[in-house]
Amino acid sequence: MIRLRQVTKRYGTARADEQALVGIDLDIVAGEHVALLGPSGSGKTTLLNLIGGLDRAYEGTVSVNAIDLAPLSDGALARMRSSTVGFVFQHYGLLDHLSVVDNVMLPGAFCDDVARTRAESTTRAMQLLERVGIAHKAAALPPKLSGGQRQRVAVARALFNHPKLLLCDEPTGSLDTNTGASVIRLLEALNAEGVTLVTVTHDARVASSARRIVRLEDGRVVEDAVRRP
Amino acid sequence: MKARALLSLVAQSLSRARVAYVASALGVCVGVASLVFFIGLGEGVRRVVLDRVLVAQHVEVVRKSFDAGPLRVDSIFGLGATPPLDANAVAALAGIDGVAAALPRARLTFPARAAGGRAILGQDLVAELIADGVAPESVAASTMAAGVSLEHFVDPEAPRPCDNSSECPGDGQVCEAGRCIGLRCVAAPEDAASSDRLKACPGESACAVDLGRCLRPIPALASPHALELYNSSLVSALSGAGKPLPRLTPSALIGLQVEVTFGEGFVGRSSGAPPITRRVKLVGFADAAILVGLTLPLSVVQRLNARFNGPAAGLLLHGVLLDVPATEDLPRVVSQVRGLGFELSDRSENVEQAGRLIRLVTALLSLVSGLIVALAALGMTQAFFVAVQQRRRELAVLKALGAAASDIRAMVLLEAAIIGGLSGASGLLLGRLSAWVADVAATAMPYFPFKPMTFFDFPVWIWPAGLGFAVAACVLGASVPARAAARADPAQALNA
Repeated sequence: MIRLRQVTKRYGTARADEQALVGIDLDIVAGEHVALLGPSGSGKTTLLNLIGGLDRAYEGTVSVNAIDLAPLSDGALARMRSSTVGFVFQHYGLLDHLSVVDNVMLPGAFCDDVARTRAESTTRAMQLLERVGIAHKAAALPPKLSGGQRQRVAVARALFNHPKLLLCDEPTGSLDTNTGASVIRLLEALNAEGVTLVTVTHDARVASSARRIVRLEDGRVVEDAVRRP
Repeated sequence: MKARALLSLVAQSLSRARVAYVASALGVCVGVASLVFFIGLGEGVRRVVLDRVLVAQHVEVVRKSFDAGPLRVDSIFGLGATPPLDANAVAALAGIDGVAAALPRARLTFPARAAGGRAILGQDLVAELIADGVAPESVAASTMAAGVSLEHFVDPEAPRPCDNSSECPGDGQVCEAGRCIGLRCVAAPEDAASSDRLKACPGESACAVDLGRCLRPIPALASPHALELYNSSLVSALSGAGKPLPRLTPSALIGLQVEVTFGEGFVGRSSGAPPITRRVKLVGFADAAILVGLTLPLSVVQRLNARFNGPAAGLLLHGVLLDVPATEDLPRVVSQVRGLGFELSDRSENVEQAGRLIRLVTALLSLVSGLIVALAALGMTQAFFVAVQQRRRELAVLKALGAAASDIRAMVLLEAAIIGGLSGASGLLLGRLSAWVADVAATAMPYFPFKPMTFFDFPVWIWPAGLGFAVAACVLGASVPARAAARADPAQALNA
């Protein structure tokens, strides 16, 4: 599913001390749940952004679904993100002026692969909201929701276009223990359905739910371990 | 990106940030409003000044002349002589593309005096007569006699073949030797009143003493602009402290007859032949007529010129009036006229200069309006830069959800286009409203000659052009922020 070879990411100048990632080699197969761990500044989020095609300035090779992302045009990369990848951010990334259901339907605006009518989009969004347990808040604006509810909306939005890969950046970072636990259960359930999960986290509970732990330090992979079930 | 989704996102975005764009949109609105106002005013003034006051579409062509000290001469020592204004010249001028008709004109080349007007003015006025002649058939073919019946504008002495008197137009006309001719009449004693002498013939005809025949009145055309000038200015100036002169309408004046003495006026007496007296009857008002004076059939003027100044004077043309219905053809027509070796009369030169001046002033005012819009567009750039900066994270999220750079650019530009469209439409409305207010305010101004009902004339193209200008200015203003938004690094924005 994901293949990284000798991936190096530099910020600013070419000096070695400003390298965010250094010679990363990583393979993630479909259906895996990988937790990316490491201290702040170790390059976890940078790695996630490279996999999601949000960051194009790197050396080496990043392939998703056997497609090398580097030569893709901006449009082709956007289509890949839209059809294959779902993002969940620590701070939710919801558009405050759109209702919950409109936020969930947003990825459909950029996906040309699936032609949906407005009614079909609404039905799909409501099904997803039902699944994450906040269908009753469909008409609400995000600022009226709690952190946990917002993150559930963000997960529902990430699932709108049936992505095969879910990239989560600190999905429980802004949530309390109980709310975080419910989000972790939701992600586990999605992984059980075959969605590949790559989660950047500091949360030990999230890490413990992942089958594979990849630990980064100073932009290098220092541990890549698969937990026994 | 799907069009429906794009529109929906843009609408929601605009609805959220409407206050941020109000100042810039207001600038565009004011700029477009002033643009519409000034162009409308310029066109309106051009229409009044050129079409009504100066009658720009009627170009008078004359022979080229030169200033030689206090005199104007046709050539200097035989140099620079221009082609004569004859039938060939008239045909060449009539053949210029855009010229609907070419009217040869000849002026009276001797003094003349007119007396009459008691029936309308309450007293007889006597004045020096200024007159010229145009060919009736040329007037009929031009737009210069629109709405005027020209059936009576014919030379009463023109040969008219007949078999019997019933084919002649009446008023003492009988058929003699195969042509219509006036009845013989005898001059009354010299001491009889002139009106008594002229009443010796039936109907409207009067006895032409020099011919010993009854003659119908010579038909004349007058300028509607002269009537306008009389009613607006002269009527009060001439009334003085005595009995006020009445305002006149065309229908009251048509049919008015005056007695004209050709060959003698206040300025002197012709030495070529004794003066003759004829009746002249006003038969209509037409743009083809001379502004001050009366316009007679060309053959009448040429015959009189020959009588008083010799046969050569009878062939002389003093100018050719060109009928150019479409004023946009004027520059090309004028250029071709000059190419033929002729020049415009002073009046037509003034028209051309006035047209240039009005266009220049309109262009300058439009330029100022354009600058207002351009400044507003700069404000729009600033507003969009701020908006894009504030929405950096939001735009990054959209990219993460699958928006391409082109989608982001399209969103920002569409927002700008909608703002431009709305502010442009408001500007058009404001401009039209301002024009209406100006017209209403102008009704309080005292009447002056040629005062129009409206000072504005809005060409049809101004509406789409004004709207397009506003949209283009806003889109142009937003293009740099749109590009910046499209190029923004989403990873950086999300991590900020």
